[in-house]
Amino acid sequence: MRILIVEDEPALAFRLQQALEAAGFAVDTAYDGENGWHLGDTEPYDAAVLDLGLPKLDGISVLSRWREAGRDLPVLILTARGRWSEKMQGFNAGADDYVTKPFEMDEIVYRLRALIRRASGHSQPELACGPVRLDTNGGRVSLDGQPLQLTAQEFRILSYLMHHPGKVVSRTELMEHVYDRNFDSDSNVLEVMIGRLRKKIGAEMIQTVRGQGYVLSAPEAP
Amino acid sequence: MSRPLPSLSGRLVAAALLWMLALLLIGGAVLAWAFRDSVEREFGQRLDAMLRAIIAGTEVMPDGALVVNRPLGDPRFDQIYSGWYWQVSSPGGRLLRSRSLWDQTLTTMPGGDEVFFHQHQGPKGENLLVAERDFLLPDGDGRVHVLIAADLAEVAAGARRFNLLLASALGLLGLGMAVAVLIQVRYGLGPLRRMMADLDAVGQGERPRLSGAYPREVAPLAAAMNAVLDKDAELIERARTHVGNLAHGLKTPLAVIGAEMAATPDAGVIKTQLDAMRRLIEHHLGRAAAVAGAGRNPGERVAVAPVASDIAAALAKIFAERGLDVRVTVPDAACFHGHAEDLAEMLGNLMENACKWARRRVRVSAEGVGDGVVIVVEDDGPGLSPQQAASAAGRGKRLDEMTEGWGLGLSIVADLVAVNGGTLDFGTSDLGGLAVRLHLP
Repeated sequence: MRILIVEDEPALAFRLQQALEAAGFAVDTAYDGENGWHLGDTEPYDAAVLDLGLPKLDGISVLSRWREAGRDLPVLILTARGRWSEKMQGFNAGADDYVTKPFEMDEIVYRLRALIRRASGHSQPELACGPVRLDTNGGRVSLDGQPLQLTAQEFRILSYLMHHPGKVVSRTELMEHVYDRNFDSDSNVLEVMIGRLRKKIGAEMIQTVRGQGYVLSAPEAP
Repeated sequence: MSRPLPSLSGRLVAAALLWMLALLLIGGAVLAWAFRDSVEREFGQRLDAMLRAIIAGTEVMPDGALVVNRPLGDPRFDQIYSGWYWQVSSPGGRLLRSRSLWDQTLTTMPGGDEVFFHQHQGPKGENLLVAERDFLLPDGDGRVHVLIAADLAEVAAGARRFNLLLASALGLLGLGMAVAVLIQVRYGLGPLRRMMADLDAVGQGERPRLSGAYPREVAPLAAAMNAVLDKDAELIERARTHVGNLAHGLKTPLAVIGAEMAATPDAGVIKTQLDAMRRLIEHHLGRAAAVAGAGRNPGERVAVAPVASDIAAALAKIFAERGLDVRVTVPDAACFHGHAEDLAEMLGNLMENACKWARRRVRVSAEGVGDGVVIVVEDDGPGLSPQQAASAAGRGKRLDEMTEGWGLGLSIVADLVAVNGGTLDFGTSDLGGLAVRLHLP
């Protein structure tokens, strides 16, 4: 899952990025409204954390422009402005959640996970596909009830596939949602990661559709 | 505060009335004196004429006796002590007198050939006007003294009648003028009274500044007042913006420190202090916004329904994980008189709190009551115990300190309710949880 942070305070942006990466997200950061709007408009993020008081272009305008252009990524507004009239303004502009500063990092992670899960059509916090279960609240994966140890990259790939079970996910799509924009997409690291995942959860769980991509599905009961 | 001066209308009316009273009194006195003087003068002329008639009729008989032929025709000279008398005396000691004098003699003054008028007491104690003189008979024995007297009561009665008439006429005139003065003062000072009512409205927060046109003399005052009010509003607005900017500005560094803290082990004390700072900022920010926002742009009417619906939609997103059933049934006519921001803040905090505590359902209803509105926010959560509800109603702002989970929300709501002149009641909902009843005038 890939997140966009738009926050002009560098120290805060850095800590946010750190915390979100630790929680298993790929993160891009923009430090002003114009850049943030541009990234959100051109890259396929799974969610955005948006500050309201931004240089160059304020957060509400960024959000309104995204929504007008049909960008429907979940947006969490993170701002110091906590009055209800200000919250209503944010929600009316198309926000999906609103957290006021100062805040707890855990809450941001929790809320982002819930936003992403609901945006891909899952109402329950636990996603299941055959023997594999993903607890979206805690960011934990289990296989046949046993905790499964995954690296950050493996987790992101599996998490994205778990959010879209039974759907063919192209290589490009997977790359875009799993790696931040500084990642060199020409390497064949994705194939390596898929191979490792297959070893851990069973090769039959992730099928390769030739020329199209990958699909995650529960194996037929024998 | 110095002792209040008498009112302007009081001064104007008192000055006008005193001046009028003095003029009326002087005028009345002059008129009364002039009337009495002219009546007395005319009375004197009558006496003088009668005196001449007596002189003309007085003769000395061959035997030396004095007679008055053709005595005066007036019968009052024949009635005893009627107040009308004449008397003729000769140097020889002979005396003739009117029948009305009977056996009384009026003392005479030594006189000359000119008529001499004076006042004298009559036999009955009446106040007489006396006219007397000497004259020489053609073949007589020297100077004869003649006197005629008449009761002044007649003159006095006439003067009294005139004075009565004069007093009532002047009194009526004075009354009419007093009424005119009152009307004039009332009408003339009307703009000042209007200004006072305007200022009252400003004080009550019903209006931001003095409105309406004032006459030339007062308009500069109103303009100066408005300038002061505008300046005042601007200062408040600037202070509010300042507080807001400061508090909001502090929040981001706090968030940064908080985030750094999370990455540092053993930061317990710092974290506690950080939380305390956080709460302090929220508290004062909320309060500053609540107080500074009060009473500005009065006359604004905000429909409750769209605000409540917007908040419900926002809360549905914020509490999406809980799958709450937030139902808003507010008639379109329900309106709040005040700031849209204040309404949003009160409703938002109450509804958010209800969502926090609710198991499944939150209900928001409202109805217009008179000119105001009553909004009820209910949930099916644990609610307040009767003791908690009682002390909440009694102490208002203390509730947040005794009830976990209310946070700062309630103290902000309580401030806003107080500033908007409303009331806040806590009860039990038929949903099972807390019912907060918000009455806004």
